[in-house]
Amino acid sequence: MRKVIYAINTSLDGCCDHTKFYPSEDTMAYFTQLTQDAGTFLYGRKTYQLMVPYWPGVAKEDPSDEFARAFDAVGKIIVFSQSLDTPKGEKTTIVGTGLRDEILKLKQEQGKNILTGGVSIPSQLAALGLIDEYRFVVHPIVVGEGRRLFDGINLQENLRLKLVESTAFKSGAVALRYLKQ
Amino acid sequence: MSLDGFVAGPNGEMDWIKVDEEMFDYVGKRISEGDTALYGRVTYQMMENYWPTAGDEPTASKHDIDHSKWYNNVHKIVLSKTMKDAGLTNTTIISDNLADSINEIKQQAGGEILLFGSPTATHSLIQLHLIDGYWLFVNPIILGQGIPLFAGIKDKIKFKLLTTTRQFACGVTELNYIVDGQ
Repeated sequence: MRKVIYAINTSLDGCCDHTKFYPSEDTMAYFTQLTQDAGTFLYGRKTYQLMVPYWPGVAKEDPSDEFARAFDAVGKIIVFSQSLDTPKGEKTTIVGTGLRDEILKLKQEQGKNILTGGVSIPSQLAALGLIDEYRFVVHPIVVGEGRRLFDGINLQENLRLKLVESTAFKSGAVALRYLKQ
Repeated sequence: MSLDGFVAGPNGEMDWIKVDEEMFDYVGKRISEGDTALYGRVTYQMMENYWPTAGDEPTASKHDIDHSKWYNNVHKIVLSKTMKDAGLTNTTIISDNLADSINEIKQQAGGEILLFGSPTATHSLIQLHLIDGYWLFVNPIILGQGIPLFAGIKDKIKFKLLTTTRQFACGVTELNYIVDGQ
């Protein structure tokens, strides 16, 4: 069974808005590694449109950008959206309904990890108990406004996780790694 | 706090917060070096209902005895618009001029002033840029809703991560920061 991993950059006050703070070189390298270990991306519309066509474009223009190269090498992108209908490129599939069944099916397939990001889709997945591993990269900043981690999550009860490791980076960011309990 | 940034549930629930002997020992070391504790009214009243006599109970643990002794000796500062400090030992109430009052205390000689829990007081102090550092214990849990640690932030605050940051066997991670620019 393949693992579903949720990885996200967040400020200390839980803001995930990419325009409010910037990843450092060391946290970028951390995401490059996660991306290299992934075979499938799982996104909602907003995160998908944030990543594509931007990163494939960077990969084309600057092949020395390791994150862009890793991103471009991931073979499959699943986008959960009810408003998108035309996928850009042959590796992208748009799925409108049946999030749970689609994930369970994907997990059964052979291959590398399934990596998800953003806020809305991961929150739904977390509430359904479908995320196997969490990577929170906490940046040393408080930003105030912006989209929150797990914003709108609908939990029946508190979701307890198991801490596996915490890694402090030179930049002052800390990567917290948890498993589903 | 929880992984999603809450220090209590929507109704003040704190039953999800993990503490064990390892954490008590670790936290106790830093606390014992401070001579001043700062609380909001709600947290202070919770403390006051428990700690003054917790060390005298027949079932008291080592931690209960130590912390009770520390609590009774430490100078307590309480932020409250409604309380009066008449008759309280070793306790000062700050009800107005928050910035001046806190700055005055910061000028005095002595160790760290530790602010415990107290989300409402924390929000007021953050807005006045009066907090110099954050000592956070991140619990391995997502609450979905609750009382956030950070609220009413108008300007970004940058931090420097201190190297003491560590993880505990119970799954809690310590994050220790000093404010590096705001």
